[in-house]
Amino acid sequence: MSAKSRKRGNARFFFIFFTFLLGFLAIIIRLINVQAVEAKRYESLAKKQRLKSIEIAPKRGNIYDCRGNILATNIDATTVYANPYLVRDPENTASQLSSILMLDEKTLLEKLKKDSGFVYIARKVDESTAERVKALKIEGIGFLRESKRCYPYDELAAHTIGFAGVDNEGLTGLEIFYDDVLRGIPGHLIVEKDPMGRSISTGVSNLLPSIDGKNIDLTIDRDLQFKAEVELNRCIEKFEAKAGNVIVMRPNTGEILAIANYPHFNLNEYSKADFACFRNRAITDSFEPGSTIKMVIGAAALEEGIFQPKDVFRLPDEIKIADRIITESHKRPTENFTFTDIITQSSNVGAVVVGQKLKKERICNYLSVFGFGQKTGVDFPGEAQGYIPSPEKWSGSTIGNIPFGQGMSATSLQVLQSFSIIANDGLLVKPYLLSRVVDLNGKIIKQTKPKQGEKILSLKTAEQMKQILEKATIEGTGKNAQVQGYRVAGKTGTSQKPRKDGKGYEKGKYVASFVGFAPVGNPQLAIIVVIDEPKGSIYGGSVAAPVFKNLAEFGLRHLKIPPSEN
Amino acid sequence: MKKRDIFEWIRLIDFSLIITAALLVIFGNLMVYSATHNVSQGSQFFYLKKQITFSLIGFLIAVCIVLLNYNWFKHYMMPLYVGNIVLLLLVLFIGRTTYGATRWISMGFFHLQPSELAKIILILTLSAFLADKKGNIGKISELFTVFAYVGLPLLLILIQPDLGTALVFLAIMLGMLFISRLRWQHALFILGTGILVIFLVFQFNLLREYQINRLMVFINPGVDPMGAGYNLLQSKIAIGSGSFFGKGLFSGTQTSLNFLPVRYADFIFSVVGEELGFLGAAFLLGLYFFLIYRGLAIALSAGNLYGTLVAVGVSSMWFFQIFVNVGMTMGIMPITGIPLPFLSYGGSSMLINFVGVGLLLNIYAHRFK
Repeated sequence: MSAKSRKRGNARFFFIFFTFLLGFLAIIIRLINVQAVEAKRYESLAKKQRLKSIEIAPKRGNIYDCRGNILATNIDATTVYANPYLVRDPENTASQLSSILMLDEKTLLEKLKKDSGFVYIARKVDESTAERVKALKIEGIGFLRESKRCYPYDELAAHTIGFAGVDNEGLTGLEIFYDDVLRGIPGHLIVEKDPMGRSISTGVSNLLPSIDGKNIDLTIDRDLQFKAEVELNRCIEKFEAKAGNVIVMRPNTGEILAIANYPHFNLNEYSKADFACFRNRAITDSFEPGSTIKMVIGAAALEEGIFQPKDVFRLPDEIKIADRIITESHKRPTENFTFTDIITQSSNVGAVVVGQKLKKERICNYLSVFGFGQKTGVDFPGEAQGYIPSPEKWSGSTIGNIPFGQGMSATSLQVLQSFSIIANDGLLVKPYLLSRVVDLNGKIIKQTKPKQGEKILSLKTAEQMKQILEKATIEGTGKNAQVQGYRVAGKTGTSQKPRKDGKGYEKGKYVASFVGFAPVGNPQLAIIVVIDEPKGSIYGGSVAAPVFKNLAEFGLRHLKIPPSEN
Repeated sequence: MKKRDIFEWIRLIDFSLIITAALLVIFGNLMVYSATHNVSQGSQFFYLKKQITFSLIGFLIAVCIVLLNYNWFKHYMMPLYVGNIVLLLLVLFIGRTTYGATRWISMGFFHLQPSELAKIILILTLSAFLADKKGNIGKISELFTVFAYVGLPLLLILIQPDLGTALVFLAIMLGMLFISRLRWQHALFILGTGILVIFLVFQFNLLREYQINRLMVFINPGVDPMGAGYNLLQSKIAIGSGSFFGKGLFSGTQTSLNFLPVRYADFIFSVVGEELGFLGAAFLLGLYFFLIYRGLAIALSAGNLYGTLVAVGVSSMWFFQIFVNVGMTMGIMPITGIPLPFLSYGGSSMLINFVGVGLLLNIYAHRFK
């Protein structure tokens, strides 16, 4: 080689050398990037995939009634899972499992072929089924002990208790309202795992124990609840009604002893029930209450001193308000009515006349004071607040509507609360369902103390109204509510159902109701019965009052209330 | 032997290269042990024993090669070339298939990988071919004969398929052509052809699905973290979590817990990065750089053009393999099955790297002729 070409050759060596040097520099720069700049990120990724936190589920708290009967508890169940990596023969395994667990073979096969170290096969199956799966001894199929929510009385108080889902999380009713209390705090077991998701016994592990949920005692009385449901169902069946609900409450404390609803469902098989069955209509649905509202109008007139119970009215058979004619539900000639008669005989014309004297502002004011148009604040999710039109929204015909409970809406609970004011000498108490929260050591953590009610009416007005309502059950529309040996008071309601489009009322569709309390001397029970669309008979006095009677009769004895002295 | 003779002898030996190679082999055996000492099946020394055995055999082969004169290979250019082709054809017919590729010929206790051997034979034969042209490939027709000469074995390797080794072939060829005074115009022509080939490969879907996946992952590493992108992600996690000082030899969590697949072979650098950190990785890269530097220095000082070309070929091979392998573990190169010289577990690869060292030492020893 000549000296010149040798020199040129050297240049090429240097070129190659620098190419190689650049390559190494690129790698070093990348190395610095990965091991210094982004090291933290990769380190946390490494930890994340190496350490697995296994949640240890806490035991959900029990729900008891006011006498210590268990309404909701947990039973041991077995969950079947699979590690698809370890299942040798997915086809055969799927067919074996599907016949025992009653599951679709195709879906099972899909699960067993998943690229994963863990899939659920069946959550919370009963012991005997689990034993049969265990007997197969299939590699890769595992079992977990889990607790499953169980409701010993199936349908009893289903709407109120509500249910918890497969992960023991509250989904409806009190199960969701008191979920924080019932649920408990999950524990964690942190383990080191290999790429198959198996934990390594010698690896790091760290246990943070779970804290079980607390138990709650309800104001619900199992026996009264049962009776309420039986009576409601019997009535619904008899009158082929669409729906209905009953509430039993202690008028002086607000403790709710029973809430029955129809249609009902089985808490242990909630997945099979129609969604609409879950609604606790007594609290979450409002309706036009009808004549039971006459009590409020009457009490307002008495309280305001506009009328006295014995005042006499000469009432025509109908009355024209704006463009509408208000009639009675039972046709009658023009007659003399006392103020008391207007309520006991449930005269629409009379209620309108009284209402005209009260005027819209005072009517609205009293309805509101009696708790209408606002939530009672009961400890239950999804309470409806009902509706009363404010004075400025009243049309010319509204005064011919509201005094007998149409053109407004309320929940059963609101109506019952308003009657409890009369039973409770003019004091308004708030209804509630939770009586106590008890921790695992039996220590009472929280207790609902019934508050001294808010003064709504004078004692005198309350007493007068009490007498009027008692008279309604003696000689008025509520005769069917009488209970042998006890003095009862109450008011019937028969309301038209508004059309869904808001234009007038549905023909032939009514809501029959009765609300009252007993014994009159010292009221211990307040009960409302609401029957939606009864057929055959439509009146509160004939449809709902008998339910009140049966329930009050049972309830008074059950609570060991001595008969009234006449 | 006179004192002066001993001095002459010592001058013939490139101690720095020997020490570098020795350090790399020891380093490699340690890392292979670290990556395999807790595999579930077999003895914890299973892989280490094999690797040490190959290192010793490799050492003996290197000694044999040093004792020969490298110019001897030049005379046997044709038999070597034909033998290579026969071996590559043989693997296609009686080869052992693993992971969808037919790359190995079973020879009892060890599986020979002819494509590894083919790299060294390519260097020896192509150097002879180019040396005959006196380091002058001015005419484009001569360039095409070179392509045909390299193309035949390359095609046989592509059929296996072994894209990685085929790319190493190209790297070796380019390095040697460049030193043979490849014209700049021709270099541009090769570049253009390369781009055209890549275009055609994609146009006619000549890549296999796994290769396309790997390329997709290279372009967008997050595309499929549990599938095609799994190796790369796990490798980066291992290296990244090693940080500056590493987690300590034998203490890599990603490594020992099997997150990193075939970590003892193609992904051995990830083990280095995780357990020895930036310090260990940089030290390893330093050794490699010195190795390649020695290779180029020996090429420059070689006694004849044949020696120069062989040394450049060996250096190019090492550089390309190191750059692609290490780059792949950190996502700057696509994943191709190219072993890391002296570190990756594997007999054939270890043996030909020793052959490479032996050749360099030989060329160094004969530099004054």
